[in-house]
Amino acid sequence: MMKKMNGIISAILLCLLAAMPTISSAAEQEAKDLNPWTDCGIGAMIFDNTKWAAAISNVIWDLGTTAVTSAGLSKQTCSGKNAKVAMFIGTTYANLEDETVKGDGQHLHAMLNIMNCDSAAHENIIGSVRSEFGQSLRDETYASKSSLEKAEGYYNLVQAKVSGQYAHQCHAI
Amino acid sequence: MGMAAWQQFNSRITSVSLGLRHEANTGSRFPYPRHQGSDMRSNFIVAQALAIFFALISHSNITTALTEPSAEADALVHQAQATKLAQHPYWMALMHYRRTAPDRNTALNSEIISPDFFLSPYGATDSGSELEATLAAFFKTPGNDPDNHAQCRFPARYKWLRKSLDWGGLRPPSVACKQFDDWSMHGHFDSLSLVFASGYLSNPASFYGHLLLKFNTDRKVLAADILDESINFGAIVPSNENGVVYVLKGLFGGYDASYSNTRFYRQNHLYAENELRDMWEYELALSKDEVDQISAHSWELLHTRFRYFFLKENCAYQMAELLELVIGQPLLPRDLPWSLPATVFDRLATLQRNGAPLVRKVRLIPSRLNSLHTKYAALNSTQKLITNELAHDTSNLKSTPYIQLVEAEKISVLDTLLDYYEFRIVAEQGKPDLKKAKQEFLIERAALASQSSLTSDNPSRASATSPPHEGSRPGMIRLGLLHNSHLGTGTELHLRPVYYDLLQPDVGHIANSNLTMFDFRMIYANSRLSLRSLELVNIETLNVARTPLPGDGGPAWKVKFGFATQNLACENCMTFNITGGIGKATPITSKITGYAMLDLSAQTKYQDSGTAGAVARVGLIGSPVDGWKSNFTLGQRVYSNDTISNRHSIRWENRLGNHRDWDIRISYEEQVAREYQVTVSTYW
Repeated sequence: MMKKMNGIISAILLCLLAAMPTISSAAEQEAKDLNPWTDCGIGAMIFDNTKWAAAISNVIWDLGTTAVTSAGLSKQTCSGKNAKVAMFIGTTYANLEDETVKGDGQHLHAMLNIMNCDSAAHENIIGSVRSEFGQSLRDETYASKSSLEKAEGYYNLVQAKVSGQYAHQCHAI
Repeated sequence: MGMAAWQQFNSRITSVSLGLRHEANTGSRFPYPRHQGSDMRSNFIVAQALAIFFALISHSNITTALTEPSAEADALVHQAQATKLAQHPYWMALMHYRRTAPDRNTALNSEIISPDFFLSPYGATDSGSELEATLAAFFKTPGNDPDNHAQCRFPARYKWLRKSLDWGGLRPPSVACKQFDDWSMHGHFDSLSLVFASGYLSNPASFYGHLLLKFNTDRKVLAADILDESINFGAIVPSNENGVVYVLKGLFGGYDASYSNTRFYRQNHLYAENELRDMWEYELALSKDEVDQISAHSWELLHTRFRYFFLKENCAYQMAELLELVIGQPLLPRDLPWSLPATVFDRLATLQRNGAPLVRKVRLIPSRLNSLHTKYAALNSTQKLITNELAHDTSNLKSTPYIQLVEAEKISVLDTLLDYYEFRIVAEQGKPDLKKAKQEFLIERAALASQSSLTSDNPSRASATSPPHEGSRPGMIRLGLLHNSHLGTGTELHLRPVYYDLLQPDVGHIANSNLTMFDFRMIYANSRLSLRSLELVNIETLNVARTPLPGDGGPAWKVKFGFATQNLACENCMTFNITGGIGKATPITSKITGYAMLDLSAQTKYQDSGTAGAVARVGLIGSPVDGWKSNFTLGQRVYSNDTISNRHSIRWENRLGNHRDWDIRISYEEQVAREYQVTVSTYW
């Protein structure tokens, strides 16, 4: 009887231990499935010209939260690399737009650094993004899109490059 | 995991499993062990397995707690008491204590108003109890959230107390401070930069500029400097705050203030892109240990709250206090009722460390507007003409002049236009036609070679602008002689605590503008001392366009209120006056600007003067030669309710000398009486 109980308890423990990678994988999967544009409230954190935009330069507009959560997602998932890239693109889109058509610029390189792309690969990645971005600019609706829509479109374009053609150079997840 | 903690944890798990066994003996399914060898061994194995399992799935750091914390802390507390460490200036600075009066025996009070900054309930006013509570807290067993342990919350305190006391063989728990380590790039902050965002006349809170602190990371770790961490200090203002409430609360301490952190690209976006303000980065030559001290204390201050006072306890005050922790010298005069950002830079620029300047490097981070002006200025006359044409009509992309440009020239023109359109989109809140126009230039640019424009983005070539430490000093005393056709010969004393007038060199502030407060003039003439004027606020900017491109520049405007004599012929004829003006300024030559303004005013009555009036004035301002700046104005005043109308005015004022510490002024003014003045000004 004793040995049977020990066996049952041991079996339970083994099952639980075996489930642990699955629980961790769920968190990783959640991060992969994350759409930072909709799930992390980035739009709320990227200011355009608000009523007091001119007035807020000496006031706190960011109390240091590096992750905005919504829909019950954990702080960790919205502080991951994808969310950081999305925040960067959303905030600096005007600079990225200009630098992409020019083919170089500090914001482009910074974006690729956040995405863990090898610096030796930056020039090729930028060239590839530039080519595709140039095509997307010919969309008649481009000018009428909001900054957030443009930024999200750009994010998707870059993510496709980084996780596809340049996955090895960017250590993409 | 420490041995004692493991033993404690293990014994609990074993008790649980043995307890289960006990229940079995009393009728449950798990009989109590009969202390027979095999049963004991199997029970122990199960207990150990349970212990391992819970340890693996636990999120807590089960770290060492070797002994009760009080014993170690007591020994250190006695040391601290014997050396009066709680009175040490560094400890006082970390706690932000100040005395209610200069006397050392008066009460202490911390400027920090967040209760959770203090580990002792008396910490806000008792440096000794706070130090004792801090030492005790360092030895507490970390719970499930090690980042909340005192060693992690207060790394600057921990670092300093480890250095200042003899810890001998005492071993506080080893705590992994992940949040602080991540934020501080695992110790890879190489240097600090104090950043000045230039003044912004469209927002009272930003008149005098703003300060930020940037933590420069080792470039082998973080290649892009716009990804560096930075901190900001400012008031916490609710959204949609009423403007009047905003001003009053900002002046009189109605807001809490806090530090916040963000990556520098967000600061660049806000100031340089959104608000079109140049930034000046002053990299400081501090040691690695000093950088670590500042970063550790900055971490301690994040999200703590202070009371905000716009004039005194503002960003300049706080950043100065933070840097003084390691610089050891005051960066602001303590006896003035205000703190100006430019003064901090002025002071930093004079300091030396080991024979070398404390400021290692000064770098301009140009605004989008400055970038546009730089690129435009670098174009030749043909390129400028084509740029103008394209700015008016994008269909000129198909015009012969543009098509005939070589590719490098096209790139220069297009890069200029991209800056131009982005500037206008920001300034005009994203008008659709501007976005559409920019789209056309983006498409055109994307089709050309991938290379930088001929006009480099090198900020060192940015349009004429100077760092704050080269600008005029904010305070002024002016003394001189005058001769008045009605009052005779006399003297004038002119005092002003802040900041700059139209004739001062356009260095370190917006060109052709005036920002003065509490400007006081008194004359002694005709054997009488009389107040000439007390201008509480006088803000004026000519907003001169630097290019002929549509949208550059804007209306000239003016706001002024205060007390002044009705005219130059009378004494003791004070009125209170509020004036608002609008107009336009335009360059006549590269050195002279012409302007026309209409000022509307309301004032208290004096004798037969009206109470509502207008002044139409035209003028010329400029520097015909280096070292001489002149402003000539003709005005005609009318009152809506005055029996004496059509009063004209003439004013011609000249500044001689370019030095930031002094100048000579020669002026002629006519307003009923005629008056000549020669004065000497000193700036401090």
